Amino acid sequence: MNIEEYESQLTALLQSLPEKEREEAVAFYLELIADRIDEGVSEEEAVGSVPSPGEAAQAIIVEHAGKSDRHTSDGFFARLKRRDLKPLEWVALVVASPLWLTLLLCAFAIAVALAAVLFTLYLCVWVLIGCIWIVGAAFLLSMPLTLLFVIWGLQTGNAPYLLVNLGYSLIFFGGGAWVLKAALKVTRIFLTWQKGIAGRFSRHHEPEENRTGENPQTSEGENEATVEIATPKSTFLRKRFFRICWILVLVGLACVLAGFMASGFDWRIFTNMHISHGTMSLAGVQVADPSQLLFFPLFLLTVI
Amino acid sequence: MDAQLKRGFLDACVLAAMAHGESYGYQIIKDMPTSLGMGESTLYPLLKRLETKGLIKVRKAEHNGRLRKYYSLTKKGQDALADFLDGKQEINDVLTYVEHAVHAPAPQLSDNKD
Repeated sequence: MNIEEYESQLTALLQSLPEKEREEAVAFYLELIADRIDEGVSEEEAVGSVPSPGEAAQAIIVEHAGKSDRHTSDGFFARLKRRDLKPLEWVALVVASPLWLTLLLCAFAIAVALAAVLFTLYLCVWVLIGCIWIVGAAFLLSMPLTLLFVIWGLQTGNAPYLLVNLGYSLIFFGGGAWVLKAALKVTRIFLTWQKGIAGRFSRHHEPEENRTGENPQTSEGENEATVEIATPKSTFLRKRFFRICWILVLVGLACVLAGFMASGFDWRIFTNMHISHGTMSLAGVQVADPSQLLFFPLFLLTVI
Repeated sequence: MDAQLKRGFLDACVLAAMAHGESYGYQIIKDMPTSLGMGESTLYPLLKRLETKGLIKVRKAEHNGRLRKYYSLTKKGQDALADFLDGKQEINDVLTYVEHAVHAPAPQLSDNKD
């Protein structure tokens, strides 16, 4: 048999294969023959030493059949993804579309609703965290005002009022610092948690190269944070500051209590001030000339 | 040798034939150990399978005025070959176990029923 005969026989036996695969297979065997001829073997001998067209075709077709078997034995959804369904399956898919389209729509609606609920919850958490910040800031911002009242107490010689407001300002300062600290901590915890969730999601979707590239960055960032916190001096100062804040709150409470006692347990001490018909009283004690009080006009402007 | 077992070994041998660089069909056939008794008709489907699995890649280049296909290992193919070698001890253990089980004297079964 010569090369042409071999080629035509093998091509004929592989008729059931797609053209591209057939040509590729035939070329492979022709290459084996050509390589032998290059070694000095005669054409006939070379053709004779490679597998016969029958043998070759059998091996190729068996392998090809195995491959298509593997393909058709895939699950319905795997084949749907490849748009490789049997005709009857296509018909069933179209006929059943009112059912599965409705179900799909329901699933989509449920998913949207769930997402909305989750997003609302997420917003709520941020609003709550924002509230803590606002409370802390309000505490700190109220302090100058209570200090002003302390001065008014001094100016009017109203000792119980002075004491109660001194207590307030101490509580506002110490308490405000603690509330802000708590707000910062809660914010950090929530941010870390949020980053973790986002990381988990992106890890599911991103290819592996990005994943490995991402990790060192985050660990680096964490290291920076720990380094910053772990600086002995700043930690020491911060701890001492917050301990002092606690003491200030306690002293403030004691001042308020002392002021209350000094007023003879008069509940009006907590009502602060009362302005009506041109007269003004501080914690139940009338002030003869309010205009003498420090920043009084400014205070009136801000309040009114 | 069992057909399934032989298939695994054949894959490894063909991959090993490309361990030191690319090779072509006839060269691979000459490199195969005769003990495997790999028919030339098996090589083509085997190469196609390895290519589909992404273990080898193919390029065409001119040789003596005709096109010849050169096969070489992909990263995945190198890993697969390394995995195969990692299993050497396992294969040895299984062979030793089977050998001992076959050649060991039969255990004396005591009959406790009576």
